[in-house]
Amino acid sequence: MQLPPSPPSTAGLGLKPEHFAPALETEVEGLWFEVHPENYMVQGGPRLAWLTAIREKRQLSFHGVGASLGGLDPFDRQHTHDLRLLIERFDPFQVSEHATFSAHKTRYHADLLPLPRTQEALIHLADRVDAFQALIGRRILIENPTNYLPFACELDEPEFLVEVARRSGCGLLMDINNIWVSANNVGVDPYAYVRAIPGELVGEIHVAGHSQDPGLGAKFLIDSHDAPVSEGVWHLLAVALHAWGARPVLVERDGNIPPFDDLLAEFHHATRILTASQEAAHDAA
Amino acid sequence: MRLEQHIEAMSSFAAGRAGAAALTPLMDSRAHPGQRAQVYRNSGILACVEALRSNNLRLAAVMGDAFFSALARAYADAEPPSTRSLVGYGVSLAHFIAAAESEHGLPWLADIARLDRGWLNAHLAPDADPLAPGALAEIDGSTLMVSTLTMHPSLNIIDIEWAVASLWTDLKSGELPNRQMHLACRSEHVLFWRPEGEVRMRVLHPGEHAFLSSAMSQSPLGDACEAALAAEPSIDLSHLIAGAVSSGLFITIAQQGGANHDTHSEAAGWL
Repeated sequence: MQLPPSPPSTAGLGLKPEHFAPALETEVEGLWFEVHPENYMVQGGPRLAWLTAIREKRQLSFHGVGASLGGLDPFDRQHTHDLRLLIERFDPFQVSEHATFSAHKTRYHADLLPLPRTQEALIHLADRVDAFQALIGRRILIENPTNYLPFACELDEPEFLVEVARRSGCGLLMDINNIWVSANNVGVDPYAYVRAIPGELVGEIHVAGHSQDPGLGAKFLIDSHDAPVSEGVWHLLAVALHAWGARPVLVERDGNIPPFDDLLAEFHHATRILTASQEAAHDAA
Repeated sequence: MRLEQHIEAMSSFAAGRAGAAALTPLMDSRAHPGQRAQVYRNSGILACVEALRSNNLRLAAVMGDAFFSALARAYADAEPPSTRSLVGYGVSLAHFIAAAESEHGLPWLADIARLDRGWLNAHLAPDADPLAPGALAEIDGSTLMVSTLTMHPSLNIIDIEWAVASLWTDLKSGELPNRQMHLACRSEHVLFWRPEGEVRMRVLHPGEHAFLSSAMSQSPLGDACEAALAAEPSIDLSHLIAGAVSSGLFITIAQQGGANHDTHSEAAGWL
């Protein structure tokens, strides 16, 4: 496996086509960008040209949504082929995917559907992650899912993810908003969750905004990525960085896309939390 | 619960083939999941709707948010994505709209979707450098007439039944057209291509359309010129060819030695 660029211990932003021009122009220090590689699986044209120009100035991270790691269907060979080509072309410092499934019997759901946290699913997912890493020639991170329903399970989520990582050699992408939303929806302690994840497995962190279900209100939160990051999630991020050490922190935004400067303000906020955690660690040492 | 049964039940529910009760055996204490389960159906549909919206910006603008979203949801339900990347999702959307004409009563709506697809095809096509402006001038007329041209990979011609190309051009996101606008049932052939960074489009004259259609089928340039003359006898062929080259429609020219020079002498005389 080739060695990727070393990950920056700074904050990044999800790159949206609306922001290609200001993303290329900004001179802010430390900023990196994350993309869904599936959005760049094209033969040519402006979006690849923009990403190429931005990559010349900035580090990139790939966050895949189409692998269906937990699924039973064989991997989609077109998808893994295209992903490999994009990795070769853009040399991202990180490639991540989800601990979910999104296709079954050739039907692609365009969604991240949950697995049961059982020993059987754990072994299956670890084998699939191992095979996927071999196919694309890179170690990956897998992201903790958002929980919406209390499925019957044999393990809690930190146990499940940590064991998959240990068996497959992958790392973890910890989405703080997903922990927050899951804690709200299925009643787990988000701080205990963070404490149960060993920092050495964490390669990247996500924060994002969520929204209330239009029918059920605050008791049911949706991982909608269409709002600014909430105060509770920023606080949990600070706790997580204290526990795990400084890691690349991504601010995700996929809906109600604001002006680029609004996202830069959230980038700066994440940077301040990262800096504070590094200073605290330094003082403690 | 076995993994396979879990995946089967979740997939059936997400695809709309089963109700939320199908998830009950998967739940802790086997409780009915209730309204919360809907998130697993809505998220995938929403991803498809948003992909269709970004692939059909002018269709979405002319339809308005509610109408477009309802159409996109129905399409996503009937034609779920077949690839893991949604960048080209919605190939059959125009066909779907045309088939539903009795429901919406807008016979020209499918043509807007066809034009959006023409734009997207050009937008996503491979990059290629157009033929240099002077490339054809170096070739003598009779050799030129038996040569074949390779089109820019982004070039595609969209045939529409209603004259909506100017409406399509005028549509900007959120800007609804004048409701009194008269749309003519008159066919148009619309060219989309991307010679450099951005997609360009224009409505083709009959001669241009015949010329490009012939050239696209790998016919020699002489045949393409004769097709243009047949469709539009007054056409200025040298102007047509020079315009096509300077617009960046071609990327290569293949010269083939003179077997059919005489056949094309009439067209060669126009250059």
